[in-house]
Amino acid sequence: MRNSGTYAMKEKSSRWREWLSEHGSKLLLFARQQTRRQEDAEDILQEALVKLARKVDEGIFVGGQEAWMPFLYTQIRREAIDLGRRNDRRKKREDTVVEDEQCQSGGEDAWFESAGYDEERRSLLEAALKELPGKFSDVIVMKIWGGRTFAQIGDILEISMNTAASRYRYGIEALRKRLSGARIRGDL
Amino acid sequence: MDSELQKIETDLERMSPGSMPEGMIRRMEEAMEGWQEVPEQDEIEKVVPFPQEERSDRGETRSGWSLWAAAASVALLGGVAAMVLTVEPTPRKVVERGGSSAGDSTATMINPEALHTIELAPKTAKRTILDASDRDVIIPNGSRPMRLMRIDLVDRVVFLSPDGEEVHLEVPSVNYQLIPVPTD
Repeated sequence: MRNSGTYAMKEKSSRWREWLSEHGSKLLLFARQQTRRQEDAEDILQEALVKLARKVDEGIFVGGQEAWMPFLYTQIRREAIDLGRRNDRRKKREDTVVEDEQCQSGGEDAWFESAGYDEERRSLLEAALKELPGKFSDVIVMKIWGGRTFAQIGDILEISMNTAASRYRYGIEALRKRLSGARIRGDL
Repeated sequence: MDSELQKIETDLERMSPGSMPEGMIRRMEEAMEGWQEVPEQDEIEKVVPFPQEERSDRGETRSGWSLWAAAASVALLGGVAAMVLTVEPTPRKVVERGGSSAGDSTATMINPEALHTIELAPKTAKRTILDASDRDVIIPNGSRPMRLMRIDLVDRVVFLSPDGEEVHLEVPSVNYQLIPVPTD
Protein backbone atom coordinates (compact mmCIF):
# COMPACT_ATOMS: atom_id res chain seq x y z
CA MET A 1 0.00 0.00 0.00
CA ARG A 2 2.79 2.30 0.93
CA ASN A 3 4.56 1.37 -2.25
CA SER A 4 1.51 2.21 -4.30
CA GLY A 5 1.23 5.54 -2.48
CA THR A 6 4.84 6.32 -3.25
CA TYR A 7 4.26 5.25 -6.80
CA ALA A 8 1.21 7.51 -7.03
CA MET A 9 3.25 10.41 -5.66
CA LYS A 10 5.94 9.77 -8.26
CA GLU A 11 3.31 9.61 -10.97
CA LYS A 12 1.89 12.94 -9.83
CA SER A 13 5.33 14.38 -9.37
CA SER A 14 6.38 13.44 -12.85
CA ARG A 15 3.17 14.90 -14.20
CA TRP A 16 3.89 18.26 -12.55
CA ARG A 17 7.53 18.12 -13.65
CA GLU A 18 6.73 17.37 -17.24
CA TRP A 19 4.10 20.05 -17.34
CA LEU A 20 6.36 22.58 -15.60
CA SER A 21 9.20 21.85 -18.01
CA GLU A 22 6.90 22.64 -20.90
CA HIS A 23 5.03 25.65 -19.57
CA GLY A 24 7.10 26.98 -16.69
CA SER A 25 9.14 29.42 -18.76
CA LYS A 26 6.01 31.15 -20.14
CA LEU A 27 4.56 31.50 -16.68
CA LEU A 28 7.84 32.73 -15.25
CA LEU A 29 8.04 35.37 -17.99
CA PHE A 30 4.55 36.58 -17.13
CA ALA A 31 5.39 36.62 -13.42
CA ARG A 32 8.53 38.62 -14.16
CA GLN A 33 6.52 41.07 -16.22
CA GLN A 34 4.09 41.49 -13.32
CA THR A 35 6.76 42.19 -10.74
CA ARG A 36 9.99 44.12 -10.67
CA ARG A 37 12.12 41.54 -8.93
CA GLN A 38 13.08 38.05 -9.91
CA GLU A 39 12.53 36.84 -6.33
CA ASP A 40 9.01 38.25 -6.26
CA ALA A 41 8.28 36.64 -9.63
CA GLU A 42 9.33 33.23 -8.31
CA ASP A 43 7.29 33.73 -5.15
CA ILE A 44 4.05 34.62 -6.91
CA LEU A 45 4.54 31.86 -9.46
CA GLN A 46 4.99 29.34 -6.66
CA GLU A 47 1.90 30.64 -4.84
CA ALA A 48 -0.14 30.29 -8.01
CA LEU A 49 1.16 26.78 -8.70
CA VAL A 50 0.41 25.66 -5.15
CA LYS A 51 -3.17 26.93 -5.49
CA LEU A 52 -3.52 24.99 -8.74
CA ALA A 53 -2.14 21.81 -7.16
CA ARG A 54 -4.49 22.19 -4.19
CA LYS A 55 -7.53 22.57 -6.40
CA VAL A 56 -6.55 19.72 -8.71
CA ASP A 57 -5.77 17.32 -5.87
CA GLU A 58 -8.96 18.22 -4.00
CA GLY A 59 -10.93 17.66 -7.18
CA ILE A 60 -12.45 21.13 -7.14
CA PHE A 61 -10.64 22.53 -10.17
CA VAL A 62 -13.13 23.43 -12.85
CA GLY A 63 -11.98 22.27 -16.28
CA GLY A 64 -9.31 19.98 -17.54
CA GLN A 65 -5.58 20.42 -17.97
CA GLU A 66 -6.16 22.90 -20.79
CA ALA A 67 -7.66 25.26 -18.21
CA TRP A 68 -4.53 25.30 -16.04
CA MET A 69 -2.78 28.04 -17.99
CA PRO A 70 -5.67 30.55 -17.95
CA PHE A 71 -6.11 29.82 -14.24
CA LEU A 72 -2.42 30.38 -13.56
CA TYR A 73 -2.25 33.62 -15.55
CA THR A 74 -5.21 34.94 -13.58
CA GLN A 75 -3.75 33.72 -10.30
CA ILE A 76 -0.29 35.15 -10.99
CA ARG A 77 -1.84 38.52 -11.68
CA ARG A 78 -3.85 38.41 -8.46
CA GLU A 79 -0.81 37.35 -6.48
CA ALA A 80 1.16 40.23 -7.98
CA ILE A 81 -1.55 42.71 -7.03
CA ASP A 82 -1.71 41.31 -3.50
CA LEU A 83 2.05 41.36 -3.19
CA GLY A 84 2.11 44.96 -4.32
CA ARG A 85 -0.46 45.91 -1.69
CA ARG A 86 1.21 43.93 1.08
CA ASN A 87 4.64 45.26 0.41
CA ASP A 88 3.78 48.73 -0.70
CA ARG A 89 5.92 50.52 1.82
CA ARG A 90 8.63 47.90 2.01
CA LYS A 91 8.78 47.67 -1.76
CA LYS A 92 9.52 51.34 -2.21
CA ARG A 93 12.46 51.01 0.13
CA GLU A 94 13.69 47.78 -1.45
CA ASP A 95 13.24 49.02 -4.99
CA THR A 96 15.77 51.70 -4.25
CA VAL A 97 18.15 49.03 -3.05
CA VAL A 98 17.42 46.82 -6.06
CA GLU A 99 17.92 49.71 -8.44
CA ASP A 100 21.22 50.41 -6.76
CA GLU A 101 22.19 46.75 -7.06
CA GLN A 102 21.14 46.67 -10.68
CA CYS A 103 23.19 49.75 -11.39
CA GLN A 104 26.15 48.07 -9.81
CA SER A 105 25.64 44.81 -11.68
CA GLY A 106 24.85 46.47 -15.00
CA GLY A 107 21.07 46.01 -14.55
CA GLU A 108 21.03 42.62 -16.26
CA ASP A 109 17.82 40.70 -15.61
CA ALA A 110 17.17 39.09 -18.95
CA TRP A 111 13.67 37.86 -19.67
CA PHE A 112 14.66 36.10 -22.87
CA GLU A 113 17.33 33.73 -24.09
CA SER A 114 19.77 35.26 -26.45
CA ALA A 115 20.87 32.15 -28.34
CA GLY A 116 20.09 32.11 -32.04
CA TYR A 117 18.99 35.72 -32.24
CA ASP A 118 20.46 39.10 -33.02
CA GLU A 119 21.64 39.98 -29.53
CA GLU A 120 21.52 43.73 -30.06
CA ARG A 121 17.98 43.70 -31.39
CA ARG A 122 16.84 41.28 -28.68
CA SER A 123 18.31 43.52 -26.04
CA LEU A 124 16.58 46.60 -27.46
CA LEU A 125 13.26 44.84 -27.86
CA GLU A 126 13.44 43.47 -24.35
CA ALA A 127 14.31 46.86 -22.91
CA ALA A 128 11.48 48.46 -24.87
CA LEU A 129 9.06 45.79 -23.66
CA LYS A 130 10.09 46.35 -20.06
CA GLU A 131 9.50 50.08 -20.44
CA LEU A 132 6.02 49.67 -21.89
CA PRO A 133 3.10 50.49 -19.61
CA GLY A 134 1.96 47.30 -17.90
CA LYS A 135 -1.44 47.28 -19.55
CA PHE A 136 0.22 46.89 -22.95
CA SER A 137 2.99 44.48 -21.98
CA ASP A 138 0.44 42.31 -20.10
CA VAL A 139 -1.35 41.62 -23.36
CA ILE A 140 1.77 41.24 -25.50
CA VAL A 141 3.38 38.74 -23.13
CA MET A 142 0.25 36.62 -22.87
CA LYS A 143 -0.48 36.79 -26.60
CA ILE A 144 2.95 36.11 -28.04
CA TRP A 145 4.61 33.88 -25.47
CA GLY A 146 1.57 32.56 -23.65
CA GLY A 147 -0.32 31.71 -26.82
CA ARG A 148 -3.55 33.11 -25.39
CA THR A 149 -6.36 34.40 -27.56
CA PHE A 150 -7.66 37.93 -27.12
CA ALA A 151 -10.84 36.47 -25.65
CA GLN A 152 -8.83 34.55 -23.05
CA ILE A 153 -6.66 37.59 -22.30
CA GLY A 154 -9.81 39.66 -21.89
CA ASP A 155 -11.12 37.15 -19.35
CA ILE A 156 -7.85 37.12 -17.44
CA LEU A 157 -7.49 40.90 -17.33
CA GLU A 158 -11.24 41.51 -16.92
CA ILE A 159 -11.43 43.62 -20.02
CA SER A 160 -13.28 43.10 -23.29
CA MET A 161 -11.76 41.14 -26.14
CA ASN A 162 -11.69 44.30 -28.26
CA THR A 163 -9.86 46.22 -25.54
CA ALA A 164 -7.30 43.43 -25.32
CA ALA A 165 -6.79 43.55 -29.09
CA SER A 166 -6.46 47.34 -29.04
CA ARG A 167 -3.90 47.23 -26.25
CA TYR A 168 -1.93 44.65 -28.17
CA ARG A 169 -1.84 46.81 -31.26
CA TYR A 170 -0.99 49.98 -29.32
CA GLY A 171 1.74 48.07 -27.52
CA ILE A 172 3.33 46.81 -30.73
CA GLU A 173 3.04 50.31 -32.17
CA ALA A 174 4.77 51.72 -29.10
CA LEU A 175 7.57 49.16 -29.50
CA ARG A 176 7.96 50.20 -33.13
CA LYS A 177 8.32 53.85 -32.14
CA ARG A 178 10.95 52.99 -29.54
CA LEU A 179 12.90 50.92 -32.04
CA SER A 180 12.65 53.71 -34.60
CA GLY A 181 14.10 56.05 -32.00
CA ALA A 182 16.94 53.60 -31.40
CA ARG A 183 17.57 53.39 -35.13
CA ILE A 184 17.75 57.19 -35.38
CA ARG A 185 20.13 57.34 -32.44
CA GLY A 186 22.28 54.73 -34.17
CA ASP A 187 21.75 52.01 -31.59
CA LEU A 188 20.54 49.71 -34.38
CA MET B 1 -1.50 45.67 -39.15
CA ASP B 2 1.12 47.04 -41.49
CA SER B 3 4.25 45.20 -42.52
CA GLU B 4 6.52 47.04 -40.09
CA LEU B 5 4.33 46.11 -37.14
CA GLN B 6 4.17 42.52 -38.38
CA LYS B 7 7.95 42.47 -38.55
CA ILE B 8 8.17 43.51 -34.92
CA GLU B 9 5.62 40.87 -34.05
CA THR B 10 7.73 38.29 -35.85
CA ASP B 11 10.85 39.50 -34.08
CA LEU B 12 9.10 39.14 -30.73
CA GLU B 13 7.91 35.64 -31.59
CA ARG B 14 11.49 34.63 -32.34
CA MET B 15 12.54 35.55 -28.83
CA SER B 16 12.32 32.66 -26.38
CA PRO B 17 11.47 33.26 -22.75
CA GLY B 18 14.32 32.37 -20.43
CA SER B 19 13.94 28.71 -19.50
CA MET B 20 13.20 27.68 -15.97
CA PRO B 21 16.37 26.39 -14.32
CA GLU B 22 16.29 22.79 -13.14
CA GLY B 23 16.58 23.88 -9.52
CA MET B 24 13.56 26.14 -9.84
CA ILE B 25 11.49 23.41 -11.49
CA ARG B 26 12.37 21.13 -8.59
CA ARG B 27 11.40 23.79 -6.03
CA MET B 28 8.08 24.48 -7.75
CA GLU B 29 7.39 20.78 -8.06
CA GLU B 30 8.09 20.22 -4.37
CA ALA B 31 5.85 23.15 -3.45
CA MET B 32 3.04 21.70 -5.58
CA GLU B 33 3.47 18.30 -4.01
CA GLY B 34 3.42 19.77 -0.51
CA TRP B 35 0.42 22.07 -0.88
CA GLN B 36 -1.09 20.51 2.27
CA GLU B 37 1.64 22.17 4.31
CA VAL B 38 0.81 25.63 3.01
CA PRO B 39 -1.96 27.45 4.89
CA GLU B 40 -4.93 28.46 2.83
CA GLN B 41 -4.58 32.16 2.33
CA ASP B 42 -7.96 32.64 0.74
CA GLU B 43 -9.51 32.64 4.17
CA ILE B 44 -7.58 35.67 5.28
CA GLU B 45 -9.97 38.53 5.55
CA LYS B 46 -8.92 41.59 3.65
CA VAL B 47 -9.72 45.10 4.70
CA VAL B 48 -9.80 47.41 1.73
CA PRO B 49 -9.53 51.07 2.61
CA PHE B 50 -11.85 53.33 0.73
CA PRO B 51 -10.22 56.02 -1.38
CA GLN B 52 -9.42 59.01 0.73
CA GLU B 53 -7.75 61.42 -1.63
CA GLU B 54 -10.90 63.36 -2.44
CA ARG B 55 -12.16 63.63 1.08
CA SER B 56 -10.91 67.14 1.49
CA ASP B 57 -11.33 68.15 -2.15
CA ARG B 58 -15.06 68.34 -2.37
CA GLY B 59 -16.00 68.86 1.22
CA GLU B 60 -18.88 66.47 0.94
CA THR B 61 -20.88 65.17 3.83
CA ARG B 62 -19.65 61.65 4.44
CA SER B 63 -22.00 61.05 7.30
CA GLY B 64 -24.98 61.81 5.13
CA TRP B 65 -26.64 58.53 6.00
CA SER B 66 -27.32 59.56 9.57
CA LEU B 67 -28.87 62.82 8.45
CA TRP B 68 -30.93 61.04 5.87
CA ALA B 69 -31.95 58.47 8.41
CA ALA B 70 -33.12 61.26 10.68
CA ALA B 71 -35.08 62.87 7.88
CA ALA B 72 -36.52 59.58 6.74
CA SER B 73 -37.56 58.56 10.20
CA VAL B 74 -39.39 61.84 10.57
CA ALA B 75 -41.17 61.24 7.29
CA LEU B 76 -41.97 57.59 7.77
CA LEU B 77 -42.68 57.17 11.44
CA GLY B 78 -44.66 60.12 12.56
CA GLY B 79 -45.29 62.20 9.57
CA VAL B 80 -44.72 65.16 11.77
CA ALA B 81 -41.46 66.89 12.52
CA ALA B 82 -41.07 69.22 15.36
CA MET B 83 -38.84 72.10 14.57
CA VAL B 84 -37.95 75.04 16.70
CA LEU B 85 -38.39 78.33 15.00
CA THR B 86 -38.49 81.84 16.25
CA VAL B 87 -41.17 84.33 15.52
CA GLU B 88 -39.85 87.86 15.56
CA PRO B 89 -36.85 87.25 17.72
CA THR B 90 -36.76 89.83 20.43
CA PRO B 91 -33.41 91.47 21.08
CA ARG B 92 -32.50 91.69 24.69
CA LYS B 93 -29.93 94.02 25.99
CA VAL B 94 -27.11 92.53 27.93
CA VAL B 95 -25.64 94.94 30.38
CA GLU B 96 -22.09 94.48 31.44
CA ARG B 97 -21.54 94.40 35.16
CA GLY B 98 -20.75 97.82 36.32
CA GLY B 99 -21.21 99.24 32.90
CA SER B 100 -23.89 101.19 31.20
CA SER B 101 -26.51 100.06 28.78
CA ALA B 102 -24.90 101.96 25.97
CA GLY B 103 -25.04 100.61 22.45
CA ASP B 104 -21.50 99.22 22.44
CA SER B 105 -22.18 96.81 25.23
CA THR B 106 -25.35 95.25 23.88
CA ALA B 107 -25.69 91.93 22.10
CA THR B 108 -28.64 90.34 20.38
CA MET B 109 -29.86 87.17 21.99
CA ILE B 110 -32.80 84.93 21.38
CA ASN B 111 -35.49 85.23 23.97
CA PRO B 112 -36.47 81.68 24.98
CA GLU B 113 -39.99 82.84 25.62
CA ALA B 114 -40.30 83.86 21.99
CA LEU B 115 -39.52 80.33 20.84
CA HIS B 116 -42.27 77.92 20.09
CA THR B 117 -42.63 74.78 18.10
CA ILE B 118 -44.49 74.38 14.88
CA GLU B 119 -45.37 71.17 13.15
CA LEU B 120 -44.11 70.42 9.68
CA ALA B 121 -45.67 67.66 7.68
CA PRO B 122 -43.46 65.90 5.16
CA LYS B 123 -44.76 66.37 1.67
CA THR B 124 -42.28 64.58 -0.55
CA ALA B 125 -39.02 62.70 -0.14
CA LYS B 126 -36.83 61.90 -3.08
CA ARG B 127 -33.38 60.43 -3.55
CA THR B 128 -31.45 61.38 -6.67
CA ILE B 129 -28.22 59.83 -7.94
CA LEU B 130 -25.99 62.66 -9.11
CA ASP B 131 -23.04 60.62 -10.28
CA ALA B 132 -21.77 57.04 -10.26
CA SER B 133 -18.14 56.35 -10.99
CA ASP B 134 -15.96 53.28 -11.20
CA ARG B 135 -13.20 53.68 -8.63
CA ASP B 136 -11.19 50.49 -8.64
CA VAL B 137 -11.29 46.73 -8.90
CA ILE B 138 -10.51 44.99 -5.65
CA ILE B 139 -9.38 41.40 -5.71
CA PRO B 140 -9.42 39.90 -2.24
CA ASN B 141 -6.83 37.15 -2.06
CA GLY B 142 -8.06 34.24 -4.11
CA SER B 143 -11.65 35.31 -4.08
CA ARG B 144 -13.91 36.96 -6.58
CA PRO B 145 -12.91 40.41 -7.88
CA MET B 146 -15.18 43.22 -6.78
CA ARG B 147 -15.69 46.57 -8.47
CA LEU B 148 -15.75 49.53 -6.13
CA MET B 149 -18.37 52.06 -7.22
CA ARG B 150 -18.72 55.54 -5.80
CA ILE B 151 -22.25 56.90 -5.89
CA ASP B 152 -22.96 60.57 -5.23
CA LEU B 153 -26.48 61.10 -3.95
CA VAL B 154 -28.68 63.89 -2.77
CA ASP B 155 -31.77 63.37 -0.63
CA ARG B 156 -34.43 66.05 -0.94
CA VAL B 157 -37.30 66.25 1.53
CA VAL B 158 -40.03 68.88 1.32
CA PHE B 159 -41.96 69.74 4.46
CA LEU B 160 -45.15 71.75 4.61
CA SER B 161 -45.72 74.23 7.42
CA PRO B 162 -49.20 74.96 8.86
CA ASP B 163 -49.16 78.19 6.87
CA GLY B 164 -48.72 76.26 3.70
CA GLU B 165 -45.09 77.22 3.26
CA GLU B 166 -42.68 74.66 1.88
CA VAL B 167 -39.46 73.94 3.72
CA HIS B 168 -36.87 72.20 1.54
CA LEU B 169 -34.18 70.03 3.09
CA GLU B 170 -31.29 68.77 0.97
CA VAL B 171 -28.78 66.24 2.25
CA PRO B 172 -25.91 65.29 -0.08
CA SER B 173 -24.16 62.01 0.59
CA VAL B 174 -21.61 59.62 -0.89
CA ASN B 175 -22.12 55.91 -0.95
CA TYR B 176 -19.64 53.16 -1.91
CA GLN B 177 -20.78 49.82 -3.21
CA LEU B 178 -18.91 46.63 -4.07
CA ILE B 179 -20.23 44.87 -7.14
CA PRO B 180 -18.99 41.38 -8.13
CA VAL B 181 -17.08 41.36 -11.40
CA PRO B 182 -17.85 38.46 -13.73
CA THR B 183 -14.82 36.23 -14.31
CA ASP B 184 -14.20 32.91 -15.93
